[in-house]
Amino acid sequence: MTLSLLAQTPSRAPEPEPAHEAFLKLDKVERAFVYRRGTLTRPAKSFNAVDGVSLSLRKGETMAVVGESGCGKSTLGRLAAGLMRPTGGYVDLDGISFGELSADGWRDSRTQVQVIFQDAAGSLDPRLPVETQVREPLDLHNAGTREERRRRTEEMLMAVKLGRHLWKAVPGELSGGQQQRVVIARALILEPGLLICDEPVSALDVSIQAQIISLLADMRDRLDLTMIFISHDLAVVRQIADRVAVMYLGQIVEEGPVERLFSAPMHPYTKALLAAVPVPDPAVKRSKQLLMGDPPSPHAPPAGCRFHTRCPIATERCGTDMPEMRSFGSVHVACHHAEERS
Amino acid sequence: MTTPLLTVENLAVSIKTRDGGTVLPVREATFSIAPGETMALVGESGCGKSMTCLAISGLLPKRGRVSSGSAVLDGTDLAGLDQKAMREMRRRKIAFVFQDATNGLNPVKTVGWQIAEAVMLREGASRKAARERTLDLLARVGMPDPKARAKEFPHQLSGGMNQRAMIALAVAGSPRLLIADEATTALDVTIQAQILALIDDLRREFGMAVIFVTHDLGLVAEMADKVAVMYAGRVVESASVADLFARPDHPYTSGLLGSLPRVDERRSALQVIPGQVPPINAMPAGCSFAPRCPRASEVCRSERPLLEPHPIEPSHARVLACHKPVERAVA
Repeated sequence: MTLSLLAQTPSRAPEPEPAHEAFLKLDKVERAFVYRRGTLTRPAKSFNAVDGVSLSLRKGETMAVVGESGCGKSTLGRLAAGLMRPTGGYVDLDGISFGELSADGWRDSRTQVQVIFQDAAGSLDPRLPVETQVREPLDLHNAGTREERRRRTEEMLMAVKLGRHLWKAVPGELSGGQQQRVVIARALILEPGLLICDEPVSALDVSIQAQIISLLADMRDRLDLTMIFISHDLAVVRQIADRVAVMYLGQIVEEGPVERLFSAPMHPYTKALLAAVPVPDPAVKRSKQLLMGDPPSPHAPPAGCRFHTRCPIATERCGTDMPEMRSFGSVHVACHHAEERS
Repeated sequence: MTTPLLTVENLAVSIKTRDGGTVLPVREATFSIAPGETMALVGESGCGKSMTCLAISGLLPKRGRVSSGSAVLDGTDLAGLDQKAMREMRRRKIAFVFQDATNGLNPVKTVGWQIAEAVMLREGASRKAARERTLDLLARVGMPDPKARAKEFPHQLSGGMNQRAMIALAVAGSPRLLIADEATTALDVTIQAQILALIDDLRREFGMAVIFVTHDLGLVAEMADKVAVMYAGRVVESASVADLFARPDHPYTSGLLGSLPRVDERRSALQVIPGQVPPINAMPAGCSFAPRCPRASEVCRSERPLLEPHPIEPSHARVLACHKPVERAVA
């Protein structure tokens, strides 16, 4: 098995045909957390951080999951990575269902799924030279001979453009951007099919952020990675995603192709979210519709549509009936008033 | 042109390190701001933007001091003031809003108590008057149900509500200058938009000057009148927001704008500034940006450029420190 990492980047396929089979499928996934333990006389209280989320990704597709803090996007990432078991529904990756795996099977599945977190320094071993850390997954999974492992590690470190003089360094000697390159190298060395990125560039400065985004996009194209990209930064998402899912209080409220969703958002929450992001161009003056108030507590989500307490177009029905996800062409929206705005 | 409220000139800050050496997180900060004006101080982490503002408000860490330069507010040079006089200045004229409001507030006192304390100190109000003024301020910053919230502790409030409380505390006593150091960075976008709109309303109402310290160029474009870009402890370019975004002169500013993902369009490829900021104790001899600069030449590596008006189109509202500014397209 050779990595053709240093080869030219193939041009991306324009649009995969929609009938293609799903590589990653989440079906009505739920995850409950107990926030007050029960006693003899008092039942435990729990809430669903992720509440009935269905998504499906084709091979090579990048799905961004966006939303504000506490909306459940990181929990969704952990569920998709198999790092956490759903309390309802199922997750299926290329025929593997994480819930049914034995301990060995789960371990083998790690060659297929890898995760990158925001805190690169915290994800690395502070005392191990970075070269050893990048090679470690190959060692753990007994991939090839010692010589092959060494060569693949070198290729990978070159692919993430980490200067050779830094290969023997420990993470503390690297900058934040260099640390994130090491994390990316270690995640990709087993050539996983699925990469989950949870806020991978949020802690980085803009000039470094651009370097890492370009690197991730480049590696995705070379390795045909399927990616879930979790971020609160909509500008970054627009740069890297094929499709976007917008979450609010544990549920997906709108999902669709990135350009369509950004240029013609249908859900009022998506609209508000986009309008709130400052645009680095003083010539662009937009009418701002500010959302009032804070998001409600996920412990006690509002009845009906969860967004109705902050929604500028909510009607009586929104306070009582939970809207179903409906399709408008390639976009899926959970809003009673979607067609009035399409 | 109106007389500036604050003029900062060649300000430098030195900090003693534990091993006996000194580092200079700020080497040359120069800018000015008029009453009621909004200025943004932008740059990446470690560029000295926060230190500059801490120096202006006399809040430098114990090991730090202003080693040269001046910061003149309303005719008083802040750099020469002792602790007591500086405290008086903060009481009357300068207010600060930090990024982390939840930790910036006292966790064992109610929000109302803390604002009332500020009102008594700054406005010399009686306890009773302060209580009323507190509710008034909380209502003014858009706190929902001020009466109930005033009796709560910071941990009982959301991040957005704490930031509102912090702003109420800051604008008590109508300061002349409000420094917002990454004040909305930790907040969600929809809450950030609310807080920014609030600060802008208060600026108009009280006629305050506002300095936004930020790394978010989007925020700069929407909020500020003018902007100073800092790199490695120096202001490298300063201009009105419209000019700077339309025609960045400094290659660093231009690179920064090019590397920015935008929510209103997908860029075919993000421009990348190679490399990283030089470490604070190993600054290159010439221009600090030269090692990363696509336009750098011999002179850039040996001679440090001064902050001056543009050589071809001089205008006193627009200065930059660069030997090889980005060429302007001929109009």
